Amino acid sequence: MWMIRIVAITGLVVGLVPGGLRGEDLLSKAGERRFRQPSKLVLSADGARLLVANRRSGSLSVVDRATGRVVSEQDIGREIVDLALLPDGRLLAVDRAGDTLIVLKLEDSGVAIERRIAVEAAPVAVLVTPDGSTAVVSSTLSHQITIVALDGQSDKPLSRAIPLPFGPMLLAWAVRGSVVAAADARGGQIAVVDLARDVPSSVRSIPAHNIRGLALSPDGRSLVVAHQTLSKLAKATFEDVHWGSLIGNHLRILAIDSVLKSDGDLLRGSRLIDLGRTGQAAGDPGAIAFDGSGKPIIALSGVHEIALVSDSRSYLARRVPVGLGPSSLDVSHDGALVYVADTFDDTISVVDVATASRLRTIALGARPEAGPVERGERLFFDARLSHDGWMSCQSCHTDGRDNGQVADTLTDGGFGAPKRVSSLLGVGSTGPWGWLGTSLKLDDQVRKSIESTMSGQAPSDTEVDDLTAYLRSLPPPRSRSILAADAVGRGQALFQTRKCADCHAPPDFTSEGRFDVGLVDAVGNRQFNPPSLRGVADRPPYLHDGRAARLSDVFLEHRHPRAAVWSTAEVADLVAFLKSL
Amino acid sequence: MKISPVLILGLSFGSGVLGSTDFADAPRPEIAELAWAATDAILARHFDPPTRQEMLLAGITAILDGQKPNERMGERLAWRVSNLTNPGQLAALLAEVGPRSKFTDPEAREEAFLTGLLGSVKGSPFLLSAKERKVTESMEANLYVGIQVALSFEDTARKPSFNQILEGGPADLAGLKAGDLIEEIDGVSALGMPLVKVVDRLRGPEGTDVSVKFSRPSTGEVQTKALRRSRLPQATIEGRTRLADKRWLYRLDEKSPIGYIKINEISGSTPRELRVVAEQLESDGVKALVLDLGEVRSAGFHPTVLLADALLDGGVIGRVASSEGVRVIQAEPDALFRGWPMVVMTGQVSVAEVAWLALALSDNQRATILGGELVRNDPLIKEIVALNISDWSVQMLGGRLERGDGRSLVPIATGRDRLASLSASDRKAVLEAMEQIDSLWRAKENSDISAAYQKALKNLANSLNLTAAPTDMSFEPKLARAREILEKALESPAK
Repeated sequence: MWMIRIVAITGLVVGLVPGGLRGEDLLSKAGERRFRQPSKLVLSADGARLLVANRRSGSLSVVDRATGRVVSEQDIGREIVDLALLPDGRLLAVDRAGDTLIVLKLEDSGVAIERRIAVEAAPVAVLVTPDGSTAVVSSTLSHQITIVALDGQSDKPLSRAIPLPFGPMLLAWAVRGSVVAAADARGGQIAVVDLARDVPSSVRSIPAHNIRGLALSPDGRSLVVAHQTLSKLAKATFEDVHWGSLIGNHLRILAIDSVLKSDGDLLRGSRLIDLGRTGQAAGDPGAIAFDGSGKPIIALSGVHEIALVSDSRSYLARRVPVGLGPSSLDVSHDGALVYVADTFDDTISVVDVATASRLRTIALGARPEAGPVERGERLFFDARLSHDGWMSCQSCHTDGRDNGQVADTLTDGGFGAPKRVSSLLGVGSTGPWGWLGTSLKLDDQVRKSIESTMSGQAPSDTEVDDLTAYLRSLPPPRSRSILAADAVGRGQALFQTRKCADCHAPPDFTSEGRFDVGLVDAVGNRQFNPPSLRGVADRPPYLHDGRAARLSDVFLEHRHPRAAVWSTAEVADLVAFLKSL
Repeated sequence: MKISPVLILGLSFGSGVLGSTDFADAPRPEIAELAWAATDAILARHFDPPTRQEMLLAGITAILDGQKPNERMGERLAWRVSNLTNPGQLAALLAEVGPRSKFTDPEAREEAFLTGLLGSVKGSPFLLSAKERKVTESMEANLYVGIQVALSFEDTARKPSFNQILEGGPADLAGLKAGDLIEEIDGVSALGMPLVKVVDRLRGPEGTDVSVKFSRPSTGEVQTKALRRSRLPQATIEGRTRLADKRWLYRLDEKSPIGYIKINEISGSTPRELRVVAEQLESDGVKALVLDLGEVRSAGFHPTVLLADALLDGGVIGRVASSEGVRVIQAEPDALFRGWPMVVMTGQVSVAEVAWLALALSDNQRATILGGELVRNDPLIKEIVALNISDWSVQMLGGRLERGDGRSLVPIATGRDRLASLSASDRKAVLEAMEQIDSLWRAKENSDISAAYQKALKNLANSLNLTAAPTDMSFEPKLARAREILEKALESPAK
C-alpha cells in the first residue's frame, strides 16, 4: 500500500489513497467552492451533530446542531450515497462510484477513516444490524444484496451475496436485525430476505414504481413505502393529470405480518395514503422519517417540501416548504425538529414539527455558479415543470433511464396505444426521438414531454437548453456482469448475420428510420423508430407496449422481427451479447 | 328530469350539440378533404357505418335539396360517387354539382353537404374543431373553463340571457342573476347575436377576462362587469344526508360501519372524489359500502373506465366491440375499498356506461347488484376520433359495450320497443317533440334554435316522466335490503 502526497498550488495537502489506509490525513474542504449534493443525513448517536453525505463531491460534512455551523467537510470517497450509524457511534458510508464501504470514526474535528471495505459494483444503500456485527448492502447494477461481516479490521471481510431478480435500491428492516426488505430501484418489487438464509423468503410486487422511501415504523408493525404509480388506462392529458388519474404520489403502509408471510397477499391489511391533492400534488415522494409519536414524515423531493402526515387522511397532512430536491430526513431525538438535506441547494433545512414551519437553513459551503448541466439536472428532478407538480422527468425517466412502465402519451401521435417509457441514457446520440421518430431534435422532444405529457407550462429556451445539456451529459449505461466471452462472441455474430444491425446499428444500436417489423400497436401504427439497445438488459419489459417480459421472450415468444424463427441456443447467445451492450 | 349543470353547459354551447360548426370562426380544411377524412374515420371506428358511397351520396343529395339525384343528374351520379377514390375527385364532383344547388352561398352549400353526409350515419355524428374538442373533453372531465353560466335567448328582447348562474362561479361572484339580459360582450352589441357566437365570445383561456354589460329586466339597472374565466368543478357524488356544517355524511348513519356514496355523474373528477371519501371512511372505521348508481345522469366512457379501475383490483372490466375488433379493458392491480363488502344499487339505468360498470363489479364478484332492468337502448359509446388531416375530430357512436366474457350487457331493447311500451297519448307527445327537434336541425334557423330546442326537450322530458313505470323496488326498501346484505357480510367475513 502506498500513498501519494500532492502539494496543490494553494498549499493544501491532499491525500490520494487507492486501496485503503487507516488514519489517513483528510483535508477539510469546508471553504472550497464546489457542488456537494447532500443526499443522506443522519444525526450522530449523541444527537450533537449532523453527519451529511455529499454525493457529488464525495465528501462528508459534519454540522454542529447547537450552533448550526459546519464543523468540517472532508473528502472521503468518490460518490457518497448512504450512511449508517454503528452502535458504538462510528459511521458507515457507501461510496457508489468507488465500490466501497468506508468505516469512519467521529472525532472532535470531523471524521477519520478507519478502513475501506471493497464490495460489489455500485453499492447504493446500507443497513447495519443493531449489534453492529453485520452490514447489508444493496447494489442495483449487480442485482444483489450482500451481507458483510463488520467485525475485524480486514478490507475484504467475509461476505455473502444474495442475488435478486431485480436491481434493488432501498433497504429497510422488516424485523430489526434479522429480516430485511429490499425494494426495486425502478419498479414495484419487494424482496424479503432472512439474513440467516441464502435466498429471499419472498419476492412480490406492489403496484408502484420509483420506490424512494422505505422504512420500518418505530413500533415495528408497518413497513412504510413512498412511491409513485402510473396508470396504463389513463391518458397523458391535462384532465387525467389534474385529477391524479395518470400519476399518483403515495405513501403505502404495509402490515408487517403480510410482509413476513411469504406466500400471502402483500397488500392484505395495508393502507394507501394519497400524498397528492387536486391543485397541490406531491411529485417524487421519497425519504421517510418518523415523528415523536410514530407518524411518518416524508420528503416530497419534486415539489421541494416535506409532508407531516399526522393522520391517515392525506388532506390533513401539513406541508412545509424546504430547499430544492429534499432527499433525506432525520428527526431530533426529542421529535421536535426535522433536518432535511436539500440536495440541489447544498443546504440543510431545519423544520419545527409543532408549528410545521422552517426555522432556518444551514449552508454547507460556497458553490460555483451553476452551468447548463447543473441547471438542467435540477429541472430534471423538478416536478414544478408539470401541472400542479404531479411529476418530474424523473418520475418516468428514473435516474435518466426508464421506470419500467407503459404510458399513453401523445409522443406516438395519438392516444389509445400506451407505450414503453424510453430510457434516456446516451439519448444525446440516439435521434430521432419518440416511438415513431417524430421528434427530429432533442429540444422538440423535451418540449413535447413537458407541454403535452406533463401538461406543464411551455419551458423557456434556456430551460430547454439546460435540460438537453443535462441529458447529453448522461453517460451511456454501465454494463453489468462479466459474461461468458464465447457466448457473447457467438451472439455478436448472430446479430450481424441475422441482420439485427440493419435497424439496431452500432455504436448506439439504433438508426434513423421507421421500420415495420411485424408489430402493430393498438391504434394501427406499424412502423416504429428502433430504440437504442445500449443497456437493454436492465430495462424489461420489451417491445413497444412491453409485451415481452424478458429478452428471450422477444425472440422465442414474439419472434422478433417479422415472425423470425430462433432456436433456444441461438437466443441464449444473442441474449448474452445483448447483456454486454 | 333534473338537468345537471354539466348538461346545461352542453346545451348552451350550442354548436357542438347541434352538429354544425360556425365555419366562419374556425379555419377548417377544404371541404372535400374534410369529408374524405371524416368518412375515413367513420368507416374505421363507427360501430355500424354505411359505405362511403352512401355517405357521400347523402351529402350531395342534401346539396341538391332533397331531390333524388337520379332524377336530377341521372344514374351517373350514383355511379360517379362510387368511383371516387380520393378527395381531389370529390372536390371536382362538388364543383360540378354546386351550381345546380338551391344554396347559392358556398358556405351554406358546404354546410348542407356535411349535414347530409353526417346525417346518413347512425347516431348523427358531428365534427369538432380542435377548440370544440378541447371544450368537450374538459366538460367530460368536470374542468370546463368559462364564466360558468347557462344561456338562452330572449325572443322578445332579441338578446341572449342567463338561464342559470352556477353557484360560486365568476358570474355568480360578480352578482349576475338568472334572467339578466346580455347587452354587450367586450364592447360588442349582443342584440340579435346567434347563441353560437355568444358562447364563442364568452369563452376563452383560463385566467383571462371578458367584459359583460348586462341589464336586469326587473329593476332596469344596467351594469358592466369584468368576469375572469375559470374552472368550477361540480361535485359529482353525494352522501346520505347533510351534516350541520353542510358537509355530506357518507355513511348510512353517523355510527354505521356501512358507507354510502351516491354517484350523480361519472366525470373525470369522480375517481378522485371517491378517493378522498375512501380515505375519510377508512379513517372512521367504515368497513362496507353501498354504491348508489340509481340516478346517474350522465357518464363519459373514459371516466367510467377510470372509475371501474379504481374500484377493481385487477380483472377484466369489460369489452368494447367495434368494426376494428374487440378491445378487452383490464383493470390494474389495487383498488379503493379493498376487502370491503359492497352492494351496488341501480335504478332504471339508461346510461350504458353505468350498466357496464355495475356488471363489471358483479362479474368480478366485487359487488352484489340490487336493481332493475339495466339498459334500454343499444349500449354504444360516444367516441371522439381524430381525423387524419388537421386537428379536427368527429364525435360518433363508436363501439358497443359488452361484458368481460363477451356477453351483451342485457337483452337489448331498442328505442322503438321503448316507444311501443308508452301509452298512445304519451307516444304521440314524444313523437311530436322528436319531429320538432328534427325539423329544427334541418331548418337551421340559428337564432331561434336554442330556445325552441330547450322547449322541445322539456316536452320530451315531461312525456317520459309521465310514463316512468316502476319495474323494481323504490329507494328505501332497496337501501334496507342493501344494509341487510352488508350487515350479514360483516358478521361473517370471508377469510
